[in-house]
Parts: sequence; C-alpha cells; structure tokens
Amino acid sequence: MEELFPASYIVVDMVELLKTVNLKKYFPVKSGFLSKPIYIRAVDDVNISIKPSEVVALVGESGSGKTTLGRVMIGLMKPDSGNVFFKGKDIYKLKGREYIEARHKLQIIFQNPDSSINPRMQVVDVIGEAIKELNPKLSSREILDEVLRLLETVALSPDHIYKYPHELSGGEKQRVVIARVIAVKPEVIVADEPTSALDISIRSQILNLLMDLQKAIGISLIFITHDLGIVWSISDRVAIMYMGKIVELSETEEIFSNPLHPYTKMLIASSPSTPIKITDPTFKPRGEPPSLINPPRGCIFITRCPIATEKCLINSPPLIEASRNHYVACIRNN
Amino acid sequence: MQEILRIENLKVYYYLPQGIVKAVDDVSFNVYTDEVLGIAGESGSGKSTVAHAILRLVKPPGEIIGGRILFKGRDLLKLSEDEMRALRGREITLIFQDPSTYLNPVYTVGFQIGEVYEAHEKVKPKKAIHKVVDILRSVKIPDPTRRIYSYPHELSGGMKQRILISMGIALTPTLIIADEPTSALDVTIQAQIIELLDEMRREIRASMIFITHDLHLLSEISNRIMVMYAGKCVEIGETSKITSDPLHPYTKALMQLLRYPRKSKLQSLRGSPPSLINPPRGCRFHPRCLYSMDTCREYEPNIVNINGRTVSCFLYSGRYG
Repeated sequence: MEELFPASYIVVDMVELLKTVNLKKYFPVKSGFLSKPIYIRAVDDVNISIKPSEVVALVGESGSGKTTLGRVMIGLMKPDSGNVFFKGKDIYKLKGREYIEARHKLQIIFQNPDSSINPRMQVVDVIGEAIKELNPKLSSREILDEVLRLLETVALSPDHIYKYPHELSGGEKQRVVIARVIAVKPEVIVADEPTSALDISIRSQILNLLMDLQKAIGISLIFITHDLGIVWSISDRVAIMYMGKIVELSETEEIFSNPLHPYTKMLIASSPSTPIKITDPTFKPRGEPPSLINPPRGCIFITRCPIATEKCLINSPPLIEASRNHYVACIRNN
Repeated sequence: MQEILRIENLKVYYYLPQGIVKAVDDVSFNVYTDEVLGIAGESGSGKSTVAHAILRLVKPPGEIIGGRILFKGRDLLKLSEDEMRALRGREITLIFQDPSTYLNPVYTVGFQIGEVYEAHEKVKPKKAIHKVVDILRSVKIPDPTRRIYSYPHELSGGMKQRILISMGIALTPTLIIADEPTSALDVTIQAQIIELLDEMRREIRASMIFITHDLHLLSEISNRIMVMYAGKCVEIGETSKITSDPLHPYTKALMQLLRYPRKSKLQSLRGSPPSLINPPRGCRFHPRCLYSMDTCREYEPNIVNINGRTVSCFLYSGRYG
C-alpha cells in the first residue's frame, strides 16, 4: 500500500508548473566486488508540485536531501526512479531542442558564487555567455546592451562590467550570478542557500533583490534554506525535509501557527530567528539525525521523537492531508 | 561585581604586502565574574582577532602592537611564553567554530582529551582514562567508555563540538572564550550545544566571552553585548538595553536586519563593510550611516558613557561627552 501513490495528496488547485512524482535519488556509498552496494537515500519518495509564481521554501538540516531534491527537480541529476514533470512533460525524457529549452527555463543559484563564476571571465562575458546561449544571433553590441540592462536590474553600476570575479565582493558576485540566471528568462529558479555565505547586512540586500525579481517577472522560486526567519519572511509554502523525505508541507502561516510534525516543532523551537516561538519543553531539541546509511526502521524520526509510540516502529508513515492543504507524515496526527 | 578581564586600548594589526590591516583598533572592554559577554559583529569586524589576542595566539603577519590585557590583574602581554602556556586551557580556554580543524584525525578522542590532563596535571595515562570518561559523561556523550576509542571522523559535528567543549572545560578554567562554537552546526544541534555550554559554564563557575554574528543567539544567552564594526567597538551594554533600545546607528541597523516581516521588504543596510587597510576617514561607519554628519567624516568619535552603557558615536557626544 505504501508503494502506491495515494492520489489524495496531489495538489491540483492551480496549474502545476513543476511536479515530482515518487522521486527517488540514492547515492552508492560502498560497493564491493561481491558484496551488495550500500545506498544513501538522499531523496526518498518525494511528491511535491510547484505552482507558477510561487515561492516554496525547502527546509531541512544538512543531510536532509534538500539540495539533492533541488538539483533533481531542475534536471541537473537524473533520479533513480520517479519523474519530474515540467509543464506536463517529463524533463528526463526530453530530447534535443526541447531538452535545452527546459533547461533554460529551470535555473539554479548556488550558495557559493565563487564556484559558479569562471574566475578568468569578466562580468560582461559571464553574463554575455548566458545571453548568447538563449539568442545566438545577437551581435556583440546587442549583447553588451543587454548585459548593461541586466546589471541595472540587479543594481550593479556599469563600472563593474569589465571586472573579474576576484575584484567583486561576495554580495556583488551573487548579484552577477542572479543577472546571469535571469538572462535566460527562467520560469523556475532553485535558490540553494544563496545568502548563507554572506554577511547579515548584505544578506537582506540580496534577498530583497531576489524577491523583487520574483514578483516582477513572476518566476517560481524554490528557496532552499535552514533559516526559518527567511522562510517566514519570503515563502508562500514550506516543505520540511528530514532524511530524504518531506515530513510536512503546507502554507507558511499554517506551518508556523499550527505545526503538526514533531520535527517541525523542534525546528521552530530551536530557531532563534522566528517570530513565533514554541516553549513546550516536550519539543526541546534533542538527539542528532541517525546515520543515512543505516536509517531506523519504521518512522525515520523515531530516534529523536518525543511523542513516538510502538506503532511508529512498524512502518514509515506516508505524507497525508491532515487538514486542507496541510500534509504531514506522522501517525500521531491521524 | 568583580572584574576578571580588562582590556585597555588593544590594537592588533596585520602587516600584509598590500598594507597594514587594522583588525582591532583601540578596543577596550571588561568581563565580570560569572558573566556571559557576547561579542557581535560581521566577518572582518575583528571579533575573532580579539579572542586570539587575549590568549596571545595572534600569528604573524599579525601582531599585538598596543594596549593591555589584564586578566585577574596580571598583564598577559608581559608574561613569558612559558607562563602563557601554563595559563592557556587552565585559566582561559578557547572553543573554536570548526571542531574538526582542532581535533587530530589520527588519534582517538580519548587520547586527545587525556593529553590535556597529562600535560597540565601530570596525570599518568592510566588514571587519565577515568577522568576522560567522567568528563565525556558530563558533556552528555552516550556510552563514554566506548566513545574514548573513537576517531574524530567517526563522530558527528555536534559530537565533535561536545568533545572540544569537554577539552575546554577539563581543567575548570575561569574564562571560556567561545568563538562561533555553533555556526557550523544545524539549528537543532546548535540549541543543544549552547545549552550544554551554558550549563557547563555555570557548573565550573566560569565567565564566558561568546563571539557570534547572530544577535538573536546573544540575546538569549549573554548578560552584556559588545558590538564591533571594522575593528572598533561601537557599543557595549546590557543585553536587554542593546536589543530594546540600541544607541549606535550600526546597532540600530543590526537590530532592524534581524526582524523578518512577513511578505514584505526586509530592512537592509546600504553599502558593504569597509576595507581595513584603507578605512574611511573619521567614523568608520559613516559611509553607511543614516545619521552621518560633517564631523563624522572628519573625526573619530570618542567613547561616551550613558547610564552604564558605552557608545562611540557623535550623536551622543555633544550632550554626554
């Protein structure tokens, strides 16, 4: 029964722009000549759909699979099973021109801008390359104009145009990355902790820029973070991940005002930056995530759960709709 | 309240080929017994350099070029290297951000904690084992008799930080300096480590300097907060006063930045932190300051005392200076 995909939890309120169905991505960690390989379940049976112009926050601790999920969702990593549908088409089955177009529409901003900009390229070429990719027939004059326009959009002055990455500050580099991403006119952007390497005074500048662009262009944004303050401030919906699974999914206000999964409660209780506090000592953070190689039997959260019962040992609870648009994977809420 | 540490006009400069980096420039503050002093600031504000300077661990090209560091009345800058070595760990201890950098990967953690006792208390290795097991139990490491034989790579980040804390408190120091001890950890682990650190500190009745960029965290654990900007101390005061009524424009901006309004623009601070080789003339914050005046561009502000708080800003020097 668990293996079947219960139709009840596919959200079909609006047109789905991007949707994953039973997505799984396992990484082999050890494989011997005769022994069976051991896998880490980075993404384990994830179903989520993203609506147009929506901001979805993917929240989880390190090792929860949020980065892997983000990458699989935009076509950077082939899943082991399951599908990713972009506008109804499986992106891993697309070929030729269609595939390239889908990849343009699905973009990613990485945490560390240094690793995503070629240190030997000037800003004009970093952004120009992306413009050319979308529109190979443009002359170099037209490309330059477009680069200047994009720099203005991300609030960088034209004197940055011939600079090399090492001449820019961290915040400026991230702006260049954002300019390059929007150069190809994406519809979905995965932002993988884009501000966690930045200082607090620069962080809000970049977040404001991203949100302004999101509103102006109407992009769907999948925002990967562990900072619940940012989640509260920018997202429409929140997906909480723990060890490769989505354990709770709902609208942002609902998640913060009425968290259902004990892990969500623990996260909120331990986060100093959220406006809503949980003071119930039951949900005081305890324990550490178990090894991904040897996940516990039954519910994955059982080793840290303050409200676990014997039933939780039996099997892994599916994500089901507890109330309207509020999904939770915990048997204590049924 | 008794003073345990007093720092007067500390200056730490780094001599780089590009010029002199004034990482800590004329900073003065004190720490009382049984107190947690939080030091907040962005990267490059000099907060870690202060920590290293207290233990005289500033490495070339850096150099402590001026000031006094009075610990229980003794000027640490005048001690010999041997006297200083005896003091590190026993009197003042430092807990770092990234535990894996400070644990030796080729020795078991039990051996490494044992070394602390062997070096400072001349305990025989066989006896040290018992002490190691006890201290691991007190930092709530499960199954300590088995864990002493683990190598650092076998432990999680949170567990390694517990090991580092146990080494830090092994000799019951009177001052613990924690330099961003939890920024490499996940939030649920961070909360547990902070609680442990505070519990241990109370148990051994030590004072603590807690360094972080996270003012939220400081508002929960510290008695007083010192805010640093570009190598200068801009404001010191009681935590509740700093968070509810910040005086310095930079502290005000920081407090604004920490507010997360739902679905509306986040507060931001224009510009970026200055270069420390060529800091702006006058007040180092003036190019980003919303209240800057002509004086701020020309002169460095003095330190002003207002009702037990210290602030370095011309907005207040007229009336109180």
